[in-house]
Amino acid sequence: MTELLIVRDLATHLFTPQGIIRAVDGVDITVHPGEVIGVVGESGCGKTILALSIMRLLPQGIGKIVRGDIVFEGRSLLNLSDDEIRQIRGSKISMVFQEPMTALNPVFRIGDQIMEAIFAHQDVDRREAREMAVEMLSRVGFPNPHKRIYDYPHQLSGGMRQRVMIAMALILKPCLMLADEPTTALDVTIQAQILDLMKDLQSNLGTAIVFITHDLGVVRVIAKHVAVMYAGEVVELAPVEDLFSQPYHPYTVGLIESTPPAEGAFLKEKRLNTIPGNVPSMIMQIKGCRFHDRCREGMAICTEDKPPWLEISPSHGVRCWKYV
Amino acid sequence: MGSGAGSMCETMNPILVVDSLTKVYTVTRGVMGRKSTIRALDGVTIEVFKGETLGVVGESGCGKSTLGRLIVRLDEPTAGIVLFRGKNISHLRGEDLMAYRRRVQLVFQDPASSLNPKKTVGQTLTEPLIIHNIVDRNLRRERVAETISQVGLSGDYIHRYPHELSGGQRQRVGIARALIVAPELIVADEPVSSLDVSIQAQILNLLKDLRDLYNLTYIFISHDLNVVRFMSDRIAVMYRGRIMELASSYELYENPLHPYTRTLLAAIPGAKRHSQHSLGLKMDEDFYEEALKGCPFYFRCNEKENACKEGCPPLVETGPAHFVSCFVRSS
Repeated sequence: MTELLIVRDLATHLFTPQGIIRAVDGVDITVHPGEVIGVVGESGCGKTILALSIMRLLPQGIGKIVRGDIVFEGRSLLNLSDDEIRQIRGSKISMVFQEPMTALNPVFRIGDQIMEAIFAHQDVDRREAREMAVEMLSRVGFPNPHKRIYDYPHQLSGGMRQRVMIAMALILKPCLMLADEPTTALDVTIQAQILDLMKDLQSNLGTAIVFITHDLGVVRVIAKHVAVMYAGEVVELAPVEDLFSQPYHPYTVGLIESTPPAEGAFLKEKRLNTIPGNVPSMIMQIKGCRFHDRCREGMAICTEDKPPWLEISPSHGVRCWKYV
Repeated sequence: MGSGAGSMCETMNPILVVDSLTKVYTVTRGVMGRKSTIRALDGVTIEVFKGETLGVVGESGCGKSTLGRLIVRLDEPTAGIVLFRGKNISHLRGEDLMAYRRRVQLVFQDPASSLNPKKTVGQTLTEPLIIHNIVDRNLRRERVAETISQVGLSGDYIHRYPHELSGGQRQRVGIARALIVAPELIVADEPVSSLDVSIQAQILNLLKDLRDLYNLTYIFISHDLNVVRFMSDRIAVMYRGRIMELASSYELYENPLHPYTRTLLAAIPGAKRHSQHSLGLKMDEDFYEEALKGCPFYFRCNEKENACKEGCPPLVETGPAHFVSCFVRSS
């Protein structure tokens, strides 16, 4: 299988008045066609900046890719002109954002917003574009889509708005979709519907998805492989079942143990095994392993040198001195 | 009302009784200023016992926060009463109200917006001591230092401002502010939902430690089913202003009766779904404008019968301390 997307040693820094934030600092991720990769991590770990780097949508003048490469279908995205990247955005790589109300334009009808994406990339007339929009809305579960295309975003609930976002993202049948916390703002039953929908569409259309989330439960449902990010780095990468049954990195273990259990009795007396401390500020440069000050199993070397990437098996890798 | 207890608690007197509590908000819609009403809370009856944690779970708009606000009297009910230790709190004024507010405290969801950005942590924590005048002036500093260490912060945080704190640290301050007046009941409204997973776990543990240390009673409001289960003795499931089901947390998760509870549990990522409860709901809207004559869950329910359309099912006890508001499940 050839790779669809290769992110190689990517470093994206944000140049802010307060200092340089090393938001993404040496990330390697490979996505194969039709595959769902989960990216999990807490706020500030760099998972959103990673997606924006791939889309080349970094905040202008602040965000800059300083190292590494992003190769999509054999072509580096970093050297493309603005026009060339615009050709890829939307038609080949699309993105779904966390908050559908702010990502949709409140003064345009949803049908027009979906059709705008079509007109940007395809030479079709309005009637054809409208038919495509109606068809896509019905695929994402809209009843009466031929009427609903005339709705404005404020007429829809949060779940329906997110369906519109997904319809927009998939209307041109891209081969890769980046989904940044697409269900975080939704109620749990609506989240379950959207996850079901994304799984269906993914298997029918064969779209590869990079699914970014802070929620281990969600990633477990949707992803095949999971990258765990901490402080701008991928600290563990594994098939989803392996990650939960045999996590290697102390941070992954900590995250899993921090999540309240879904089963069991007498939970009232139980305490969670927590990770002490806070997520580090990315302005300071940390010597050694970035997790060392919160790690329960830290060794002397962890404070000195950055741990190397180790392959436990061909599909399972970890960045930790413990396994050297 | 008397049935609101549970058999295991029958020998105890409830610390708090909420009886037929209803809150109707009037909202103005559109440019013409058309008025409409929202029944945020619709006849909720529940009892809370000393030392227990009562979880309240539901999706946005189910009325769980309104319930919390009415209990701490941040808002006045449209109908119904709240009794604290047998006394109706809705007529409290002046000193009595102050005394009530000392005994019942609230922890908010968003610690960033519920802390005064212009006050240091020390000032924020001293303020309730001054207002309630419960600690001698020269002992206040000591009390603040003591409380701050109890929530797991070191003493030098007293001089910091909220913007200098992380989300987890701010929530610790929010908890300290509630704790410092030595309350009996704490209403925690989504106290961990804005926090990262690793920080959320720290705060949940802290809340449990404090509960055991001071024999606190919690009303723990959350949308997160796993978090509520981890914290609570009993859980009330709310939907559109009503309690759909009330049971011990073990019973609720092992033997959910109400179709809505089953839908919620099936929606937990990774939960095993019984085929007939596979979220059979395609649409999540279009129901909001319907008049509420029948069961509020009628439109989304896949077990509904004719009776469900006609009247609202009462909350009845179907098993020991297990209450459900459903015609199909309680018959």
